[in-house]
Amino acid sequence: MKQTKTQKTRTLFTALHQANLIGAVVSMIVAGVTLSILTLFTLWAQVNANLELVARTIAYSTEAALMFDDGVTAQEILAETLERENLEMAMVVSRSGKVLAHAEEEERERNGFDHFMNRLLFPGDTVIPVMNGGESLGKVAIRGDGAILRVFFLKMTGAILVCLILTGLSALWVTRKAERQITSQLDALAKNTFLRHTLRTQGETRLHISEFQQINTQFKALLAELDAKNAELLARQMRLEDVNASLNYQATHDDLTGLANRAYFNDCLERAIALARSGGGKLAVLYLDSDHFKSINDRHGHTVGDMYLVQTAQSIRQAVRHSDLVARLGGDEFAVLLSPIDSLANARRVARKILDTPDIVLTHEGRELPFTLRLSVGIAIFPKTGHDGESLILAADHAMYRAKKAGGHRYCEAAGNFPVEE
Amino acid sequence: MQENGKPMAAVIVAGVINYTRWPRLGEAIRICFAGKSAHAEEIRQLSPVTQKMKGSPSTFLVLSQEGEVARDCDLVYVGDLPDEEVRTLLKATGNTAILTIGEGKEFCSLGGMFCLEAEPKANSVGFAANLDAISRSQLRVNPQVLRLSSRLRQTPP
Repeated sequence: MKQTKTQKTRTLFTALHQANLIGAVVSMIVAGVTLSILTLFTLWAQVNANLELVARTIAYSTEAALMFDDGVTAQEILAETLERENLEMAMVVSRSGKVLAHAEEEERERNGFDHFMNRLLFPGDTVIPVMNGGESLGKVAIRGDGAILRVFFLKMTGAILVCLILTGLSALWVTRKAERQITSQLDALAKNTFLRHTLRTQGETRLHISEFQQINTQFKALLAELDAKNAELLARQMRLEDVNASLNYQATHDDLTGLANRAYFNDCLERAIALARSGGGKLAVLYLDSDHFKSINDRHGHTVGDMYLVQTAQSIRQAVRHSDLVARLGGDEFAVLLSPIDSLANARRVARKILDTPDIVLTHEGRELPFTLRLSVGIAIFPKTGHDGESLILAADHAMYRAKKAGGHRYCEAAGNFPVEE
Repeated sequence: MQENGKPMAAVIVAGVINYTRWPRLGEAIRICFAGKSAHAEEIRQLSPVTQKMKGSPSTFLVLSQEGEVARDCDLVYVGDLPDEEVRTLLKATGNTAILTIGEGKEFCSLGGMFCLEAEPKANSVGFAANLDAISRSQLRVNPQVLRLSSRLRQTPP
């Protein structure tokens, strides 16, 4: 994670470096070359104008010499001017085409570059006619020595190179500086927002780049909002879970006694059978019915009847293990699921324990009414006396009837594979 | 030595005329000859040249008497003439607006303004100028001409 992040950053800044460098170099070259060409051109024009002026001066000074056909004086003038004005060649030609005087710069050590530059700068000689009283006496031809231009050209090239290097270095420096700043600001941003949020670190770094500061503020607001939303969602889910649980409880339990109802009992029974079937275990179903609930109801009213039912449920509950399920199937009928059990004897012991419950005393309208808990109990065992939930309950029900017929307040066991009995 | 078939003496005379300013000039430049000269004939051909240069043609007169100089001439060309006569002539032209050109170095030492001199080595004709005589006259001579003559003046008389 960290690795990819730094790698991406490096790529971004490399691109930034290149963009800055290329931009600086290109603008430098464009500006430098344009300016140099302009300057060179101007200088060239000036040098040419100067050459023309020099030619005019020579024409003026050699006018008399031309008129008197005085080659020696013309030569003197040319030699003097050649020296003074840095000319490569100068000559005076008379009207008839005769060369009156000709002076040429001594072949100094002039290399190929100088020659090339001279030819490039001065492709032709500067020629000025020598006039006197409206009449042409001849002409003066001179050729400049481009030393000034050559030196300027070299200096200019050097200056551009130096400027290029300086520009490149400063561009790199500026980019590095910007990079450092942006990186530190990004780090600070991360510290201020995500890390602060997730790690709950303390202290906040001030951000100097306004965009980052904005992002920082917005992130923090966003994260705070997320937190609030999260808390709200959590609360709502907990409320829903509460409601769900209570609805579930209401759907699976009996209101009066708080025991499981028939539907829930059937569900649990099926699950227990499936478990016992795969694991090879045993379980027992006890079917219980009150022997004298009807007479209590008739004698003492429904309120006492209900109290009696609640008490009965409590008693049964106390007689079984915590893991066993006690259900009220309806009216005064109850069922108990003992799962798992090792043997039939366990089921018998539980039935005995229920039947041995001491008398109960109900208090109603200031009177104490003692009752003996009388129950008829049928026992069915999986897999011995039933192969599924329905047949087990039916078998237990039949066994309970037999107990009731036999006088009640006792238990009977479902018989073999034929629980159905008239 | 000739250029364009034009004799050198005539070239120099034409050049000097070209670079000389007269305070007053009539319809033509009056050129007078004194003494015998081999170049007289060449100089007589200059009329169209001066017409071109100064806008005035040249008229020519052979001097027989000294007294006529001051009245009739703008330029005196002195050929082969005894020194005594030359002195008399120059006395008459001194401090006037008359240009004097003579043959031989002696002409300048006698007080003439320009003296032609054959240069056998270069097979040509050069000239020298007498600055004192020129500055004493009423003429104005372009210094360029004086420059041309300077190297001649350096040679010892």
